[in-house]
Amino acid sequence: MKIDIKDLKKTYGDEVVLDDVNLQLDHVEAIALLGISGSGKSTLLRLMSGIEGFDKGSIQIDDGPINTRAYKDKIGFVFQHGNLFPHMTVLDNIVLILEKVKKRDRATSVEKVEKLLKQFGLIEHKDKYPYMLSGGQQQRLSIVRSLAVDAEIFFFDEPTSALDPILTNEVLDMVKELRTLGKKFFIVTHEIGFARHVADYVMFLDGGKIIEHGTTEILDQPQTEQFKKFLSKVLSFEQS
Amino acid sequence: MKIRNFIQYILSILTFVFGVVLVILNTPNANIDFSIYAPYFRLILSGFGWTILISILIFILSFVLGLVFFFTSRSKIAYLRYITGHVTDLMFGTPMLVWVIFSYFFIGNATGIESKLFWGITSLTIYFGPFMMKLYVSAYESLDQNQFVVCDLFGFSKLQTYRYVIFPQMIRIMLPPLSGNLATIIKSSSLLYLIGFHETYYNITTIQSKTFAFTEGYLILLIVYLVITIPLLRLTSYLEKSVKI
Repeated sequence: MKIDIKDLKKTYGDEVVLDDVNLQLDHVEAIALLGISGSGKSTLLRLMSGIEGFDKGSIQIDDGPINTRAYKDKIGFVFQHGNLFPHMTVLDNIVLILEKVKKRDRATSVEKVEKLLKQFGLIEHKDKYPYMLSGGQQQRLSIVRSLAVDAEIFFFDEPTSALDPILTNEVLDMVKELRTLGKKFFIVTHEIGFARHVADYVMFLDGGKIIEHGTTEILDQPQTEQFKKFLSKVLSFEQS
Repeated sequence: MKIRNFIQYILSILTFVFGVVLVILNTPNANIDFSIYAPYFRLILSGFGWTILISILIFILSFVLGLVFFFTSRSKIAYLRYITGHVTDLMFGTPMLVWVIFSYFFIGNATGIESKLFWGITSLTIYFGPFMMKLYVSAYESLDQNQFVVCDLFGFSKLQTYRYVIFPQMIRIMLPPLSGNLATIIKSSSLLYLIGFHETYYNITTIQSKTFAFTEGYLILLIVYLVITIPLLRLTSYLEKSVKI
């Protein structure tokens, strides 16, 4: 995947959330965005996914613009909450999209979805409603849904921050599995261990700027004071 | 324990019956005789029928009007937003009674439309429109806004987003207060006696003025309205418990 960000600026009213962001990368597949709350990492993720506009600058992914239908068809976005349609069963949450939006016939849609649910261990829940699932199962279902429409690039905005450690691992294992399926992803996360082992590129943001970025080795040799401080805080309980 | 509970339930109802009996016993010239009303059975039934019919019509129309107001209150055109705001202020801020009379006797006269049915339904529909709008607004605001983003990403059209995702969720949230609103509309429809519309209250007062059997008339009124509204209110609290989305 190729990423080209130039002079990016984003404001909410008077508040500047991202400023002067520049980034040119090639051959990256799994990118972790790190930073404290308010650093701009979630905003950068949202801008790169195209779900939110920006004030100034440009973003291109794989040499193409991101505000197109074709790009939207290629991506999947997993929020911390509100991904699933709460009034529909697990099966219908996905079938609805294939049948009504992608205009495939119901039988093949159901067949495809059931196959995916089976593959990711959710088939026994297919007739349940989202509120009957665990937080981890809900997030996994969100991922399966994007797989069902053949998304290629996934965006995760702190997908596990509302989950306990066991459910967190359950979700992160599935994100990891995406790589074996040849999918690419961006993830905003506080799980440094996950970033180290699964991502191939790491960005650290602070105060609306990318302070450091590089392959996962930068986690072991932080250059700036901010990144050192951040890592020491996050890792202080994690003797790895 | 269950039997004990049941006995207490019966006792609690008897408390009210006893209260009513006590009041009637202390009412001068109240020789309760419901048979006076027997010849007017058909009239009472017709009033009952009209009450139900216009209530349902007002309910449906104000539900639709509430949706229209919901959209106009969020319109890009400022004029529409202001108009919606004024209607809301007017209906929230004035007694229904004044509005019903004003509609029929004044607007009716000025426009030359003299139908009681028309003004009865119209005045209450407009009166309840803003109340219905508030239901839409609070349901809409309680939705997770990510639902819109998700729909857009998956390629839903605006219509599909509302049809398959937004409205079904809003309706579920609105159902309990909606059935409460229907009960309020049924009770409020009695105000249409003011313009001489033949609903339950009007018919009973007509019989009362012929027979002078006032006490019986009011008792019948109480019973008729409770027969309609109590099941509705039960449904409301049932829905409140069962609707989880």
